[in-house]
Amino acid sequence: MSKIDPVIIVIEDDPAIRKFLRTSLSTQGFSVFEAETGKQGIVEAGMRKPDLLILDLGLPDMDGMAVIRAVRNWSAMPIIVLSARNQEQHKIEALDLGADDYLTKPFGFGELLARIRVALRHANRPADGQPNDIYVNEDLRIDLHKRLVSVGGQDVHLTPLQYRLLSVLVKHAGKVMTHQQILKEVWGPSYQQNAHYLRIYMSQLRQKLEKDPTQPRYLLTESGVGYRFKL
Amino acid sequence: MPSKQPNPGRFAFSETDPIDLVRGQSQPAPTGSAMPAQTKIPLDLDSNRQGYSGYVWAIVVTAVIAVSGHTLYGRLELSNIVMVFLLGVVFIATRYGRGPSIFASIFGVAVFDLFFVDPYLSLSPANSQYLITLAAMLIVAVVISNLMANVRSQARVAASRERFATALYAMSKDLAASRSEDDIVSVAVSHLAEEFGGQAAILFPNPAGELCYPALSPAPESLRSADLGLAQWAFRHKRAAGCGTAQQTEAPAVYFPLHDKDSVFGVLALQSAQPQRPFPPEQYKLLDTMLRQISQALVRNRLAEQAKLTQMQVETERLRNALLSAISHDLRTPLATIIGSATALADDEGHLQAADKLELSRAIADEAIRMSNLVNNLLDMARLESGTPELDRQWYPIEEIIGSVLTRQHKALDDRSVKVRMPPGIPMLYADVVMIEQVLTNLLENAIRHSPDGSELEIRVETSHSRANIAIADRGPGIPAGLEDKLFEKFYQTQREAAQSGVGLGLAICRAIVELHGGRIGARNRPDGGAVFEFGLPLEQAPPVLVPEEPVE
Repeated sequence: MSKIDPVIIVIEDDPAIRKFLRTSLSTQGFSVFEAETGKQGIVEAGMRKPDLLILDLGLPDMDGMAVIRAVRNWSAMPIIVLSARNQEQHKIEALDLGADDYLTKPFGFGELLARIRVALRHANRPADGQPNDIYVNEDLRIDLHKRLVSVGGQDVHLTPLQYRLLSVLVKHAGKVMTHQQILKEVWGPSYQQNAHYLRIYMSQLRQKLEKDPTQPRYLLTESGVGYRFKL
Repeated sequence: MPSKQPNPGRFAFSETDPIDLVRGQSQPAPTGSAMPAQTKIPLDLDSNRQGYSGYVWAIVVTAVIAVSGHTLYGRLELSNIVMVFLLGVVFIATRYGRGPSIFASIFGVAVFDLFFVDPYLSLSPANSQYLITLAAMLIVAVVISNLMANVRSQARVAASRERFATALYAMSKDLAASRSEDDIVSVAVSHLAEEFGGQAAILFPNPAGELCYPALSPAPESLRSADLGLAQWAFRHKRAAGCGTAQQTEAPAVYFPLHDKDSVFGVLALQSAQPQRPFPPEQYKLLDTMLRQISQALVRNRLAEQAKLTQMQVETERLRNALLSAISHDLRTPLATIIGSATALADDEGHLQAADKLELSRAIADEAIRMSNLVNNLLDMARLESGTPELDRQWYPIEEIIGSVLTRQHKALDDRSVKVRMPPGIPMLYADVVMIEQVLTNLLENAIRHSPDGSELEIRVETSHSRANIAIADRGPGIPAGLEDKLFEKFYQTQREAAQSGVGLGLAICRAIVELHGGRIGARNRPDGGAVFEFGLPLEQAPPVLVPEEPVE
């Protein structure tokens, strides 16, 4: 049984948080290994080849960003970073470096579990895989293969850019994407400074897809960081 | 001062007090023992200048009297004609001073002797009795010219005093109206420039004790080419330096230390309109008094600022105490629940039912979240108050901000309906979105806390006068009259120690953030019950241009 348990490495200097993560994640069927420092974490990650990495950005020995860079050199394993409040810039930096998601301390366990599941699902899906081409959630239906979007059975007409934006978000469904990542994928690298373009198109998409654009159900805003398409 | 004899036109300053030298001139009469030679120089110059015409007038007046006296000769007694000559001498003495009047006396007696006394056209020794006339005329001439000289000099002193007084009054009036050091400096510089026709600057030391130019934008009369090294010398030695002083007398400007009894706090640099020329001596008295007034104004200003600082420290202390008592209460209450529930769970020997355990752990979670919010508020307030935080301003649609907040408050809203009323076409906001979301979150939490469960909340957005207004309205009991402004003060709570209270920082944080964005926040009651909290943010002039997308085929 334990052989097929997903392996998670927790890199965190605070013993109380490590203990809480180990205890609660173990009961959910994960094998948890701990590292106290960044260096130790990189070694552990190389040795155990875990399915997922939980990384605290405020480590005593090295910058959390350096850990992300080191791991990304040789592995695409999902990384979830833990950061303090009011550190939007750190979150964005970590995400742009290749972290998959972030959680702001203090966080609830349910939230963490949800993020871990989304990250693992993304990691296990083959790149540009076919099986997930159709997304259905309540009355929203998106068929990436046929390029069809409908709300409550009614086809929705999207402009090419709106559609491209939606498809990028849907492909990374459940995962947070920074403004920069979306801009690069939808508009190309030369549009990195025009985050307001993205916000205008998001607002148009919400008008078309959400029942109440001010209380969105699918196209969620990650304050100061980016967007997340909720499954 | 008496030990050093001042050079005319130049000033040697005493060791202890650079301005003391000129103080001697404040004696009103020119007879003062401390009066150095300088003030006499202009007097002498004056009489020299006038003297030439005085002698001419003496000849003319005497000649006129002689001619007119001669026509009346024989009809008048000689003694009466002498009186007319005496009258002429008196006239010259009053108008032209001692020299011309003495000349007029001698000339008059000579003319009288030559043309009026027998034998004519000769100064015969028989007429020696007229030496008495000559003596009398000379005495009258000297006495009257001296009296007149005194009167004139006093008038001159009075006139220059009046001018000094006017100049001083004008400056002291402006200085009294000055509210800051910068004000004082610009008043001082402009008055000095007006009075002495040059350029002036006041240099203050930086924290390291080095003099530097004030950060003030320079006025046309500000001196921008001061010799900082020489100014530093004046500052360190508490003595005047530069033009006309013992130290580097050839410098273009003169530097006076500004000081009170104990310490020097700056240096005034003054450069006259004609560089390399010292100021005329009589101006030094005025300059001295002006320097004193400027020093006094600066001292007064520093004392006032110190008092303000002390007042602020007292206020800070009071706030800190309020903070401590609020925190200790608001942190202890949830802690009591957390510790109690947690120990009940930890020490359980199998007596707790599953439902009990769930209830206890939920209580721990709820109270911990409450504590976390409280700590967040405290940290936010501290961040907002520690100088001006940097705003990460970007263009955001208002509906996205509202949407993000409502999504995050989903749980706290607990199925309450929030009606969002927002007309289409509201321009984007240029703001730090994390901070504005914080404002909205705090106002929403406030509305949830102060209105009955299940009652409707409303968010209204409207624009007016290049300003976007966002209002959050509830159906609670409303705001007690007169407290609309007090609500936004730190640590203010309507119900002290109420069970669901925060520290009373939420609204204060809102106000700080909104004001940081150049906006306003306020609260009022709705006419049909409930409270409205509204904040307005300025709409920036140029919303970003979006290249329109080609329509779909």
